[in-house]
Amino acid sequence: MPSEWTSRKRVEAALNHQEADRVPLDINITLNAYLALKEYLGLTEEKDPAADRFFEVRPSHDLLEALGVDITYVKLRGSSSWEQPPPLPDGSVLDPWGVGRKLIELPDGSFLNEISYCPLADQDPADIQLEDYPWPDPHNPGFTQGLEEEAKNLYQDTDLAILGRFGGPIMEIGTYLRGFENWLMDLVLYPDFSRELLERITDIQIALDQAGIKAAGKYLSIFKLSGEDLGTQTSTLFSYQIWEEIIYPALSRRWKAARKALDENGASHVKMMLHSDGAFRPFIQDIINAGVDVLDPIQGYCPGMELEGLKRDFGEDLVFHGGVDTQYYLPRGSVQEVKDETKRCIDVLGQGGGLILAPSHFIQPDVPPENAAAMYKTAREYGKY
Amino acid sequence: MEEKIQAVYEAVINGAMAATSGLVQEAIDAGIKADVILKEGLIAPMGEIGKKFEAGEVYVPEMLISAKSMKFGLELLRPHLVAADVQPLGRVIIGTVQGDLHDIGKNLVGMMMEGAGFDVIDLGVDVKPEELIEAIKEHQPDIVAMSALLTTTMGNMKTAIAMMQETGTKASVKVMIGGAPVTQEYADQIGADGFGVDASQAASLAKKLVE
Repeated sequence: MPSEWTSRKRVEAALNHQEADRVPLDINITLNAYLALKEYLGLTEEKDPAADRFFEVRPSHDLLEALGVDITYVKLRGSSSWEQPPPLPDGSVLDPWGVGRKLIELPDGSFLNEISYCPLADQDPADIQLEDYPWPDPHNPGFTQGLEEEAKNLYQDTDLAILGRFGGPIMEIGTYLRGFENWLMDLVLYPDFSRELLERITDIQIALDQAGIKAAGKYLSIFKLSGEDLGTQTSTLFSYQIWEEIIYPALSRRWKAARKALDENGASHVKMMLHSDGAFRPFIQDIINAGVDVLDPIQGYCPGMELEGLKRDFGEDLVFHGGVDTQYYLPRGSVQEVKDETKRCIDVLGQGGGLILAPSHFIQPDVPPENAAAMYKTAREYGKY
Repeated sequence: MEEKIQAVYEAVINGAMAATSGLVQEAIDAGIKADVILKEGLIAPMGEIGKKFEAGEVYVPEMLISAKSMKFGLELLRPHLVAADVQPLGRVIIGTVQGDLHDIGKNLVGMMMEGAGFDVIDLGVDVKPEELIEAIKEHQPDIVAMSALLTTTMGNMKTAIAMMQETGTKASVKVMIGGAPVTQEYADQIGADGFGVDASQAASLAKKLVE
């Protein structure tokens, strides 16, 4: 046991299924919730922090310290050769995949960046020549510009654990390109097309993962394998047969490539984390078999995802990242309910290490800052081993 | 069951997509009444698919494909239904609430309701309460169905119901809500008449609400 626990040691203990001084903590938060929480905690005001794809922001170190959060992250930059095309007539802004998004204002004045143009949606898969699609080039040096230095500085100047997220999602890009409904139906109607689409996206994400790992892998504690939402609120998104025949081959190829890249770049200590929303218990054993060490964000109120069952059946193989419900408790529960729910997560998932407590999705602007603060305060105090 | 109808039924169950309309045409040509084709060829298999979905035997992709196949058939059949004065089970206005662009759940619910025999008017996504009120006045529905995926937008269901009450448009309709964070408890809290946990159960609930 270390004589003095640091955030990094605390996280690495949990990743190795050992108890530290307390349960380590992480956060995902969107812009307006972040500003409200900083104000509530009396921290320095920030001028327009940059918001990312889901309007999430990178929390400042004083917020991490105030809450007891033990993790920060590094990510890829953009390609230096890609030029932003002009917006579409409806105002949609295109990304390097050719997918359009629009800024949607929520009634409370916050924003979401939502998909508004899916470039392959109107075509019949039989007519789509995927080899002719203008795929982004993952080998551009701009993606890793300054990344190694950033990770190195964070490693040396802070005692935070560093999470790296490099390549983006596979399935989700497929849904962006084809549109969600088409993509789902393609899995049944055009399995070969679905497979080819996923494989092409996988190749690009693997190259991006490899570039990021090469630059910064050795400074990380966790490598995030992006997000692949495999479940709905009530069940898996597709049948086990589709998972086995189309989805898993692509995803597991990427996960194994990441493990290999980590092992070859002085980062064999780094654990791999998969994000998936929803109910997807039938796929978990396969996910473990393909080398995933950590599962995020654990929606314990979805059928099959109950915390007790997950810890009992997969707790020896998996570390859980997340757990605190964001569908009811954080946005609409009372402070007392949030405290009780936080304790419950720690009681069930925290035994023997193996838990990095975090919200089960981004903290959105509807989460009262007192609820978010109560979650972290409870976790710091009650989460002591 | 008549062979031609059985073919339509199977086309919907197996997700024959556009081919379904050809089979509906064959049934019409064979002199089968439009309401029989609707009930036995299109509505019956959608009920079956809904049951399979609830039992975990099929998933969203298969349900979507069956629903789209049903819609191909229904499109061809519609003028014949109008000509024969076949009345729908009721009229539904459906939409995703203001601020929310997520529509796959809403679309599935709409299709399952159509597949249950309802006339469904889809207002799309990001539907403001004022637009909903206008649509109620214009279309005189039996049911208003609202969807939200986000916790940040589900409050707009409450806003819409309150506005319906203020404008007197709530009295003539039943309101159903659904979406990932939505629960029966929340439905009760905001004065909705029902909540469906998934698209199949939403269609069953809609049938109960117009009984």
